[in-house]
Amino acid sequence: MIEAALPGAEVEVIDETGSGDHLRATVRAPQFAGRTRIDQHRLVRTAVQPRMDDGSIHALSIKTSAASSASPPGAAGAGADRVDPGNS
Amino acid sequence: MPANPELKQKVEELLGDHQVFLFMKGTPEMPRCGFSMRVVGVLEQLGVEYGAVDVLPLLDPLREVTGELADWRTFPQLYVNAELVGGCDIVEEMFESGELAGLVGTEQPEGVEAAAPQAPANPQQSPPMQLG
Repeated sequence: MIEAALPGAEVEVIDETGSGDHLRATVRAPQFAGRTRIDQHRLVRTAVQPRMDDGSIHALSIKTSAASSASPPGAAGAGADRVDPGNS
Repeated sequence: MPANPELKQKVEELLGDHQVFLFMKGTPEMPRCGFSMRVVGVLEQLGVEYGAVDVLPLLDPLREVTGELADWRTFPQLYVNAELVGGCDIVEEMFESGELAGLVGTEQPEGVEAAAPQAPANPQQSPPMQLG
């Protein structure tokens, strides 16, 4: 789903609780280069929004970085934000 | 549901009046949410002057406002120069990397790598504001 929205992205999703609905997504994508962290998170969140809306994902922690080949050192954004009722 | 235009205008005024502004649950003196408390802790460690507003009394209307202004509906939200920087995790990461100090124009405190959440020791923010 994320890879379809962000062609070329490397996506790793970890099921944090084993229940399948609390996920941690680590995403590296060339599209992130030059974008702020909040923008990177918006891209990922938008990609998974249908799964958030239908309730099949309850909480998603996102960590993003620009693909290393596409950005100079220091420009790679990394951030994590949590979308769950505890941070709502 | 569209945002209340009057509330949206108030929010835009607050963002225009404060270089650093935090939407949080509770107040800097008494945060009502662990994520909000951690962002307050970062701002106190930076020693930056900031404005803050408690979103709890107007939670849903404010979600509509920030949804329209910044495409973001969860709190806390930290704004610098009227631009959304992020929530708790983004703020903490940018603090630890030194980016946040650069963004707000303060010196990075020494030895803040892996900064632990801590209670504000020296509140510098203006008094809590009421929106409605």
